[in-house]
Amino acid sequence: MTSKQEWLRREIDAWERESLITEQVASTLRGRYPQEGGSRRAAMIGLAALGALLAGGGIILLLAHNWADLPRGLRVAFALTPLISAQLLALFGALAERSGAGWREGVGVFWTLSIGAAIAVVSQIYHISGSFDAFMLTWLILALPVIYLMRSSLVAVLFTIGALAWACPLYDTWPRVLGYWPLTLAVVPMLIQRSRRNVFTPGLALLRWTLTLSLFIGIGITMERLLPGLWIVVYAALCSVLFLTDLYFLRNAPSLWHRPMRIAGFVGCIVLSLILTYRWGWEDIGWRHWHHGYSAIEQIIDIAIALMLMGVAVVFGVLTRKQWRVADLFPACFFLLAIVAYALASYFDHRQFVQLLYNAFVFVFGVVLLASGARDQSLGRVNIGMLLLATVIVLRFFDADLSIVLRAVVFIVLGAAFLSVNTVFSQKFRRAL
Amino acid sequence: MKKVLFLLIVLVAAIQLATPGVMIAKHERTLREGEVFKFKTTVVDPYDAFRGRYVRLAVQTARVPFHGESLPHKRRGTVFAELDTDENGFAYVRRASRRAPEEGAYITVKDARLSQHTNLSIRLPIERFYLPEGEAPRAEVVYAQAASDRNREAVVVARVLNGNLVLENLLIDGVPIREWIATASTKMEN
Repeated sequence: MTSKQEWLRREIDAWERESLITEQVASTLRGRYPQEGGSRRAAMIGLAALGALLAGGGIILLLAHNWADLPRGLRVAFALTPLISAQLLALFGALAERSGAGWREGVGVFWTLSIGAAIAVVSQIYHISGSFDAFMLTWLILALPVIYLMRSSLVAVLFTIGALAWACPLYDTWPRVLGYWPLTLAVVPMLIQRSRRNVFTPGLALLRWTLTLSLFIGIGITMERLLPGLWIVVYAALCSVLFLTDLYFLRNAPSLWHRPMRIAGFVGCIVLSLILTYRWGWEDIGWRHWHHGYSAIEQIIDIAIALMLMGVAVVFGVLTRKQWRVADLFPACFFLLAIVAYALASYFDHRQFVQLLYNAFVFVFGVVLLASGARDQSLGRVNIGMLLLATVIVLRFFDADLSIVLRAVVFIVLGAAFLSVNTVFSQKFRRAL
Repeated sequence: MKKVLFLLIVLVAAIQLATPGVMIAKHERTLREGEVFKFKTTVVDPYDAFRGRYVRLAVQTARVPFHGESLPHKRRGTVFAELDTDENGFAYVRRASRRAPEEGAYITVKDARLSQHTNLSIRLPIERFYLPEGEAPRAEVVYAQAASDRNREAVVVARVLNGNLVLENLLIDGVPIREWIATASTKMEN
């Protein structure tokens, strides 16, 4: 980092401390002047974590070999040695006030792995026939404090993946699978706490990616699926929530790598729309197909998830409405379209109409992206708009009973359109520069 | 701040060590003081990425009579399986109930399921016997070749104390499995 930037970052810290500027302004300023040594720092943290992962994984494998010829007492001592070593390292770090990210992430990852190794090897020594979920749950509960003690984003990432790995095999074991939520939400205070200091660090970006992707799977496995088709509203609301939350908190991000929620909300909205242009998504849905005979909590859980997500989408929609560009309207209001479509398909049985509605949605979204890209001289947005238009056209051509020659012509025309639009816009944008 | 962090790490470390510590103490006590039982079993070989090689055991248990108050919602819950020994010296589950018996050996079985109104399907916690890497796959091959011989029998020796069961050994034809693998492998090679 240059000395000017160092000075500026120190000043921003001081202004924030002295309440001259708010936390949000400080975070915006830090995002505007990113650390030049960021990539080098990220590489160093990454290497420390990779080293800890490899060493921890190696120790687990070494112990898994099962040294049955050694006395049991010695094997028990071996099983606990990595854990005790990791704990001593953490204590040493606390005493020596070692707070560097490389140290915290490295020791944190090693500590987390050593907890799993200790439980696994003790199970091995005594031939304990425990289930995978009991093993994972014990590991997760014991590893949770490590996230906060070491303030480690990578441990939080491992924890989030572990929570999902624990919950996935339990997808049909309701209500135990609901444990996914407290486990996953347990890392959120850490995310908030660290984000207040600097939201655009590589570790927090990775954690946001992991959490975002985990949510897509987690919602699916924890739903009780008693009201057929409600998944449409739930996933549409999730896409809107992710997109709008990003718009509120992360709009000043230095790159798209830091904005997984925006990407997931945007891509999720397009993929879900394309899925919903098919008939099968709309068959046998709605109140008439409701599965009866379950407990009250099972009956309402999916609706509670849907309502909660929609509520969050409305709140962030109101908070960010002034920042919306035309293209943002589509993912932001995606959940409203889903509610209308669900009502039309399930209550009024207008299935063909809702299919048409989603075709029109993708088409108009593509046109808007194309137009806004052309206006703002963004070739990327122009191409995404073109891609959306091409996808919806191609998918409908595959549906229709058309000859191969006609399909070939359509493909050639679309390809030519892509090339010519790109050529024309690149020249236009270059001239404008 | 430094002191608080130090104390928190000590507290968390103690809890983390206590978890395997309790497991170790409980199983060591069962191995020392527990009553010995033998269970008939079969052997197959899977692999566990975390816990290394083991042979999977399958102890046959029939549906057993269930006594006491009924199981909770969805008919799953913890039950206590009372053990007895048959005329050949093999252990079997005599009956199950929701309360630990005051006398006699029993095993705590979690997640048991009611199969009929008065009968339970009991799955005893005898599922894995860990072996050093390399020996488990060999055990499977040697055992599979020997399986055609009807007189050959696999027996799990376990100790039971206060509902806790710990496997002590796996005997094939009365010989500990590791010795048996070594002898059988040598015979096959010759």
